[in-house]
Amino acid sequence: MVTGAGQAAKMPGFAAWTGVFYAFLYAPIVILVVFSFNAGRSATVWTEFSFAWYARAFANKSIQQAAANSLIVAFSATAAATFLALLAALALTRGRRFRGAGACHLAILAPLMIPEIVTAVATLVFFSAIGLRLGLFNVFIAHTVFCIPFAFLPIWARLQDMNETLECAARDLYADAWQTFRRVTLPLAAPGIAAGAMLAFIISLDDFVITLMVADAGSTTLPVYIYGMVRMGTSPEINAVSTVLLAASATVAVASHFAARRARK
Amino acid sequence: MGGAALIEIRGVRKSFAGQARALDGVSLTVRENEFFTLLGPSGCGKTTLLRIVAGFERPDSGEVLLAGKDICPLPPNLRPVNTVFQNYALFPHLTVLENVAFGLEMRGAKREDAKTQARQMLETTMLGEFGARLPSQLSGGQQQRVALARALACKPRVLLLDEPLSALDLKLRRTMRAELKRVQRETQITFIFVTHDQEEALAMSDRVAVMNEGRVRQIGEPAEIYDAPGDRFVAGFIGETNFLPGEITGCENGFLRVLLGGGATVAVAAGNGEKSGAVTVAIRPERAALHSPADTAANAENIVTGEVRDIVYLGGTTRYDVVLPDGAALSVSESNESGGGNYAARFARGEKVCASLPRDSLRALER
Repeated sequence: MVTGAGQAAKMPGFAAWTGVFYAFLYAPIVILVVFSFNAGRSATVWTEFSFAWYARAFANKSIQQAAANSLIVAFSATAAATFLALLAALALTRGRRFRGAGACHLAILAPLMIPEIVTAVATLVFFSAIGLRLGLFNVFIAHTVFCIPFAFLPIWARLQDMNETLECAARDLYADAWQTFRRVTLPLAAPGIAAGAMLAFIISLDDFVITLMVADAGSTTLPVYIYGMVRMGTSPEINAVSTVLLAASATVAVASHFAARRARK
Repeated sequence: MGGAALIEIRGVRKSFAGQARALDGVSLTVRENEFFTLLGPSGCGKTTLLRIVAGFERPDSGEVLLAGKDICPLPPNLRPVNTVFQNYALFPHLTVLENVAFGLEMRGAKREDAKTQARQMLETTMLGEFGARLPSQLSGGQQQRVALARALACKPRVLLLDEPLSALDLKLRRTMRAELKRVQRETQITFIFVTHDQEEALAMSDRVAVMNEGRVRQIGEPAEIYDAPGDRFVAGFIGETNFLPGEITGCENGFLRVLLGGGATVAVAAGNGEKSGAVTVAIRPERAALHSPADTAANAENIVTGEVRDIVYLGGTTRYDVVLPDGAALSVSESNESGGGNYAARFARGEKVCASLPRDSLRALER
């Protein structure tokens, strides 16, 4: 019997199952968002619409500190990871072919396959072994490292797709290597770089496991702080903070999607 | 065209990892103001040779002299040479004007001066109205013109063209062919043109180098290449050619005597080719003439007999495919001079015919 996507769509109950699937995925998130606007304390009984929990969350000094840490780490780690990823992608797509290029490529992407908890423990052990205790800077280093493969992939894909003849044309038209890079390679790779940076930003902003291990008391980020709050008992304040985090991620994700679409054109 | 040598390529060899040798000792000279064509099938090394002149590849050995100076150590941006790429390679993120101004600016012109010059260049190439557009908003023919304008804006000593017409449709290709030729005449810039299209090569070039398998097989003016092919490859690659196997039996009054497989003996103009032994005799379809066997006016010399196997009406010409007694095929093309809608083939399928092969049109080539 031949089955395929076309046949599956014609199966009885397909629409219902699809609905269940999406409900399973998104219902908890929708509930979280809805109850962040609930005036009452209950996470199950709706009373009335209110921004009270947002006001409380924004007024909370610890949350402010955690949010600030999250943003500082996300921006700096994104910048560093994107820069390093760009260099790696340039070396692998535009540099002279070198022995071990394949292995390098694999080594850059391998962290995607390594369980995060392993990286987290290894990073913690490594930092304490070398005695590196710089607070937020430790978090920045750890984030930079795990963001590199995420930033690398779109940049590499973009450079790979780009016609190298354009760079030849620039060289032919009297541009030196640097001018060629600045006037041709970089502008053409920009959509890939933007997509990579945004991906790295989301990953950094949302990271929990590694940050939990590496961050000390003063350098807690928002996800770690939320986890701490949950352990003390749920409160709609958490819903409010989570909703803001979700909105930030979603904005970047959508922007990244459009950047990638432009890149493909 | 007796200009001074501008580009001298001496014994250039190049191989790529894991592949057969791309260039196997190529030497040739391109003269000042010349329209020089590198012609050959794909993979013959013509594009590699062009990339070496442009500076995108370095030869393994040999040298490339431009006005007497070896340019191999120079990167592409330090060579007074510009290229029109096969797919134009226009910068998609720059406007047409910025594309044309790019080279001028990179060579140190102020941005505004470069733009002014580029604008003039666009005016003279009838592209003035497109300056503000992006390349993706232009048709193929327009992109082609922009690529040419961009490459010529810097007034290079040599313009390299890598199959620039291959992406255009047939009609546009014909127009661009004439335009390229005109631009070359007007600018007096030396063109090195790469193509696999023999018609293009014959129509545009002052001289043609026919390449195959990394070697230059023959260099000459188009008529020389067509009428006096130096070897079997050149004869077969350019235009249509009949190849009749034969054996040299002697030499007389400057003509070789060749015994063809079918038993006829023909006189063949002695080229610089074979002097004895087995050869193949080449003749263009339009140089041979068919006669009825009864026709006593048929030249008694250089006659072969055969049977018409097929008749192909091609509008301006009719091609008769004749089989000779030894099974060799001889195509003869006759131009259809009388029109008026009353065309009739001179011979019928299966009819016995005589073909006269003028001795000056025959070439004895290595088999």
